[in-house]
Amino acid sequence: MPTDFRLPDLGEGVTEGQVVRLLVAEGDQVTEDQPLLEVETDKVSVEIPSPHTGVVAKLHVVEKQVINVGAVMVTFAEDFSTPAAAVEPKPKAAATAPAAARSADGPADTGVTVARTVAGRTKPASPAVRKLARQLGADLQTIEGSGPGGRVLRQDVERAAAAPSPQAVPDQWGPTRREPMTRARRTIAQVMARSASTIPHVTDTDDADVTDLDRLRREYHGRKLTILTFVVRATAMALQEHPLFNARFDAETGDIIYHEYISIAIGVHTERGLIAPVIRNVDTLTIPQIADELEALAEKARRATLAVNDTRGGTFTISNAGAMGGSRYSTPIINHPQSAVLSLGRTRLQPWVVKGKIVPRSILPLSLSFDHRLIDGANEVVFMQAIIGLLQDPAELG
Amino acid sequence: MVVGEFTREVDTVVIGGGPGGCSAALRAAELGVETVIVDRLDTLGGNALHHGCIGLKTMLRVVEVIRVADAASALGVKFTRPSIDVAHLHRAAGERIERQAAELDRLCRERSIEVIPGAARFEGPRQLVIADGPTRRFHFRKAVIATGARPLPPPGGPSKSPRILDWRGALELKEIPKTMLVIGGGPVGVELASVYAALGSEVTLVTQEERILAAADPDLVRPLAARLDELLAEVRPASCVTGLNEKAEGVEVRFQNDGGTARRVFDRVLAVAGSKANTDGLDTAKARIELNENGAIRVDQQQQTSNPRVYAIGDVTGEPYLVEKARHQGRVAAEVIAGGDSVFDARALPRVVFTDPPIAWCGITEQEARNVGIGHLVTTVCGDGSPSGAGMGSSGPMTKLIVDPETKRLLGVGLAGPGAAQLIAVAALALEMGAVAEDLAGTVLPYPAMSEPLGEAARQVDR
Repeated sequence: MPTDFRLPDLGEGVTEGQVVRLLVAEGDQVTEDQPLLEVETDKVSVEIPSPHTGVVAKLHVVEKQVINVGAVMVTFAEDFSTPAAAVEPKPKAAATAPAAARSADGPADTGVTVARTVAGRTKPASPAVRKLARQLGADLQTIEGSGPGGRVLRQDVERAAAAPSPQAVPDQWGPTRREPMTRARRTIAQVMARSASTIPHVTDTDDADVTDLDRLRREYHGRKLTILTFVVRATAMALQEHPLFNARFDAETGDIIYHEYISIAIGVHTERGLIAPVIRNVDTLTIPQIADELEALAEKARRATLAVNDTRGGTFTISNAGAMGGSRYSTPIINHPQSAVLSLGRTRLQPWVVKGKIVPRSILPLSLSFDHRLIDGANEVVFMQAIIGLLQDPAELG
Repeated sequence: MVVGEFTREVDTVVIGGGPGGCSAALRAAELGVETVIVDRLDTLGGNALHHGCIGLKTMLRVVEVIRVADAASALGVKFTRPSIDVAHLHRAAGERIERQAAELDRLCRERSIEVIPGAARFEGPRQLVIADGPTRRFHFRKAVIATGARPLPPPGGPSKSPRILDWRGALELKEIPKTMLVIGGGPVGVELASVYAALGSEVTLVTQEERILAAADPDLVRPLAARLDELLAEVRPASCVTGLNEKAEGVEVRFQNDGGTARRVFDRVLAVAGSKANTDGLDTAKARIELNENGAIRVDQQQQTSNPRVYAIGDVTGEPYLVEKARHQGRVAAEVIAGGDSVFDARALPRVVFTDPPIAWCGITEQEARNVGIGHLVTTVCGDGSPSGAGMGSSGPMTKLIVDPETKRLLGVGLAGPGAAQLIAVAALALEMGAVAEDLAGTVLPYPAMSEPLGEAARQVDR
């Protein structure tokens, strides 16, 4: 009796993912834990390892397809159902597999259990609209519903079904090409639009003279560290003194919610786009520990093995735009619902006036955007100067 | 080959002429598919019609009439004590059953559906043989298995005894037993226990679960549980029956729970705790049809089994055992066989316990939402709670809405009290349409009527 393998629960709140890459083909012999396919969720991509050693009888998904947690991805030729302690799928990035995944795995025989279990996760749509979607070959779960509560209406399905396929379409002025966004890109688009449209941003720029720091970091207790490591440390210290920058605004109640912990998200560019993994409780870490955390995150980002929860729970964000080259100042967008974001330009030698003389100094350009609902310009200047002060006097960073 | 044997080519064979099989056949015929039904009985309708729903419904109706007559005394209307003619009651139920079976028969004839009596057995992925009577072989393009499920006898008892009954026997009792044990705290067990208690039996109800109707939210069950405490001799939750011994004076039953063991003697024992899919005689392996670990047939959302020619619907595919589910799945299978792309994707399967007070729910329950980790918000409005209700001064059932906390979309509805069985239809429609609480709040509902708490609960969601 062949065995179905379903998309396991990928952690808190994630209900669907997009197949990025298939790593096996039908007929392939696979071993347990061998990656079967790569699935991208909100911002993270996960390799789903095989729960069994066996032969792939059927692949139920294609690349770019969006699938729900609990959907059958692969059927194995063999029967693995005999041991009563059923197969517990264990994706590398998965946190825990709550009951949802298990019950979806279980008696799917009537379809009833599944339908009832996922009632809270399916798109609202009337039976007639659901049927229309099937007839037109439109995937209901990917359609944005325009009705109340996101209900998918007849015209939403018709529009989705009529949407041109990703091929060349000329407009009035010349040929164009239409391509669906990747899931990660769509998420970035949504997050950025929400942030920019709900938070009144103000951006200030300034410079830190990091000449001394630059010397120190090259030989820090026998180890070469990045400037970013020290900026993280300086920011954490400044956040302790300026809790408004480590808070968020609850627009519904009008309250300010202060985080009594400091966890800094680091904006990193990856092949799949922008991603901001979080270093937790930074205020309790030493400089070498921060350096270790940064290296580990960079490694995970490079290998695309970040888990969903690695990008959640930040209280402030630092974006290292300078690492990518020429950037100097920018107007960074706040990582919603945080209250501020710091962007680093590229450190370079500049003619600088020190004690009445022009001398070459290493200058780090800083751009800080803040939520003007919580914070005023005067607060910001003090906060920025605190960071600059620490960076210019690295002995204070201890 | 024996003389007289021949193989007949048919398009679609439906095995089982119960409500599910009939609706599959009727829908297939409607879509122009040549269809035959094979059934063990010589009449259509299956167990649900002949030994289940109608009989139960008739008895529940009697109980309701007795109670309403009783409650009328509060309005100054008094009736004398009812006398119950059991034989007459069975005759009345039998006539209704015959009428419905005749109606099914007429519908099938109208659509040229041939009904072949006999037990079907697979001989291969597309071969069927009807073994009893003159052997007949079929080559089919598609087959639909709708053989249903049957009650399991209670463990630890004699295999056959006139005192130990399943739900079929329970509906055909010639007299009202003095004492009765009902094994099983699900909807059917609770319904039958309350029927016989109302008719005058001293009823004990035993269930392995921690409470009766464990699938329903506890707050919905509470009013019924209180009523059963008055009505029944005893309710034994979290208890097993470990043995049944037939004696001259009745059946001696051994109970076991955490507290120890007990023995009691009953006139009749009614076991409704378990059922098994009817796959035994089918030789499903020959047709490469897979079963699940409970012996039910495994199907996908289009009711297709592991053999792409064969579909299965209703009770034979496992719980829950509901006539309307079987009928719905029958239509889905027929449409797929006719080339359509239907799926069974009901989001709100209404569950009703026809007791006094009745309980009904659909969509997800609060306990499911909590266990599965679905974000939810619960609003409960009490009806006037009077168990004497049923249209006399009562404003409707206790009503519970389970909604998505962000969108306020309805995820589940629970009702307990007068009108629950009828009102749940409104809730099922709202759930299938993907309604938000505001849709329900914005619907004008009649007054005075049982639907008042439903509207009130919807309005409270946004408050």
